[in-house]
Amino acid sequence: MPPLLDIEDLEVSFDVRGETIHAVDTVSLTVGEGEVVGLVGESGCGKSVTTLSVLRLLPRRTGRITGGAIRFGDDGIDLLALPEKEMNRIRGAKISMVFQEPMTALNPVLTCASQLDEVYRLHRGWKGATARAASIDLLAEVGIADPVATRRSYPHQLSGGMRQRVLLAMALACRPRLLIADEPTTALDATIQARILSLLSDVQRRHRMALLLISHDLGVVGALADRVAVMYAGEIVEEGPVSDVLVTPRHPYTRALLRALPVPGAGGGGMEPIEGNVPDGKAAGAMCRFAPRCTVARSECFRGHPVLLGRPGGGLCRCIPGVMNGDRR
Amino acid sequence: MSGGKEIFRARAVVKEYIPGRGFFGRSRRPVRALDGVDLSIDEGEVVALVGESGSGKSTFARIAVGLEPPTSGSIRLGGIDIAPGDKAALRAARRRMQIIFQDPSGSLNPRITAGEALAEVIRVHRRAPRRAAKEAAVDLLERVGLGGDDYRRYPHEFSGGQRQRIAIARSLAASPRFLVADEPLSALDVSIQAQILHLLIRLKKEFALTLLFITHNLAVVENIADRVAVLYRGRIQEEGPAGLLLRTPLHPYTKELVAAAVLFRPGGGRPVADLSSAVLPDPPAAEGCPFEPRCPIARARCVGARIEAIDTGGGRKVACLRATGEDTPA
Repeated sequence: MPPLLDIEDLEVSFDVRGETIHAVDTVSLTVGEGEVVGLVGESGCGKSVTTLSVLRLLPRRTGRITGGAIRFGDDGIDLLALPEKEMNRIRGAKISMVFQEPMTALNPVLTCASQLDEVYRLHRGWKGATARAASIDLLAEVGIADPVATRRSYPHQLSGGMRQRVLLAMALACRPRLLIADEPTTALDATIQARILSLLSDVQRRHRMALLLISHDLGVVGALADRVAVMYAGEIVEEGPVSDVLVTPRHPYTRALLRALPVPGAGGGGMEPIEGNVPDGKAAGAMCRFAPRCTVARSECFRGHPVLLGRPGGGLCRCIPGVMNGDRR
Repeated sequence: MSGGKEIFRARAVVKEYIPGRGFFGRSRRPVRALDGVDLSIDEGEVVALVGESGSGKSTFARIAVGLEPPTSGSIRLGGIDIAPGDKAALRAARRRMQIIFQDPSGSLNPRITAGEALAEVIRVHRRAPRRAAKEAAVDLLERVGLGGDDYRRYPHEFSGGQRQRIAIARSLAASPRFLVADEPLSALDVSIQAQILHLLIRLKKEFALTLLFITHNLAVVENIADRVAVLYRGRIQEEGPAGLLLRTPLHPYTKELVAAAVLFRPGGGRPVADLSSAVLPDPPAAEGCPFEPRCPIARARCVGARIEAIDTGGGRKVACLRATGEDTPA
């Protein structure tokens, strides 16, 4: 059976003030039916651009998909070749998305009720009492204690955690087969973050829905995902089962991301910074894009652009030393 | 750090906000953001104030540096009372204390270059002539890990982490002794968070700073703080040395914060049931433990009388009848 979502050799570039920036460079990623895949990387690595491309939500004036295919569903239709009208039937119905900042994702001048009912009206043609009953059920499902009152509220009357629950309810309204969650808990408190993530995990399992989770925090991804892909400077540098990638990472960048996490209770361990900044991918030329920041880089890392190779333990890794002798740190 | 010279002291700080009149002109009940906060910080010490949104931690930060007056209670910095609105005292104290915020773009003027922003503060606070101020600004940029070339660049030309470096440099331009950092890491990537945290640790030593570090994330405090105070609904629930408090939290709220911090670390495991409880309950109606409606071990005695923090030895204090054994009848 083909995967539910199959991104193949995706290339996206942006034209900013006459310059072309290669945000995503031949990225391939699959998400299986009911699978949870984490996409990790620092700001500017191209993870959000990749997922926005799936829904074709890139800024029209500046963003361009210059290559690749994004196939979805049992018949593997190419989303990039679909007319806009048909794409509208997929967005929110078969694939939906939850964003980082629930305040900007919700319309401040409409009540939650009208925003929730709109989803039903557009995708299902439901109105009035039918839509109302369905949205009350949905709000209860995402753990809102008083769905009737919450429905009547405006977004600003709700806390950050509540807003994210309402947004999640809207995303789940049409029982999508794939949910894309872009940093869904980054703007939230640690304790609320824990609650929203367990809710997401719960909903995903209950509906056997596929989940593509985007985060800069490997810890968050590790708690939820089956498989993880790590992006750096527009390309995937390591990909594989969470149980293996996070336990025995092969790419120095994955290791660095793990070491940047705080280790509570370890007397102040962890939180090792990664010095330097992310370069513009393609402009780096024929070398490993992480080499300038890498602590174990050799001369060969600066001489050629490494390809993704099979890694021991499953998955792929774009690092010659990392694949050759994996456990060396 | 105990036994050092006290540099900052908050005593019984209360802050009430009167919400705007209701739609039909009905007056509303005041909202108590801080409810009797006592906190003292010794010279050279780093104290972390931890709590979730709405706990009052940012209100405390603003009151601590005199940006807002408390409704009652007092703030003393270096022995000078800054609370009563004595403008001259406040201005003198301002030179010795600074604050940095979560969102660096919001606190930088987009039309002033990084260097000019620093030079201006140096001219005003250190009364330095123009040229000396510029040299000092370049020096500061370098000390926060930026280059002298960055002097001429505007805030939008920097990344989020770099902007936070500029905000930190600007706070240091006034040569403060006491720095309040209000969620300085929250808007940043994990890898950049580590950079900024290490920068703060280094600068703390270089500039002999005393630091009040405010965060919602207990996971990061052990790397920087000597002592931690946990704030919940305007009251300090637990206070103690950072390592001890993280390893053996006494208050059920601190326990929940520690659980949330450990949860999403590699090897921390999947979400657990006790954190997945659907919604947070409403605030408590009256006196008593503010955490009671959410507390898994609450007893009838926890509502009613106000619960004061009790010294449990080893520099620890906790405001919980269950944790201190006060609930067992004598």
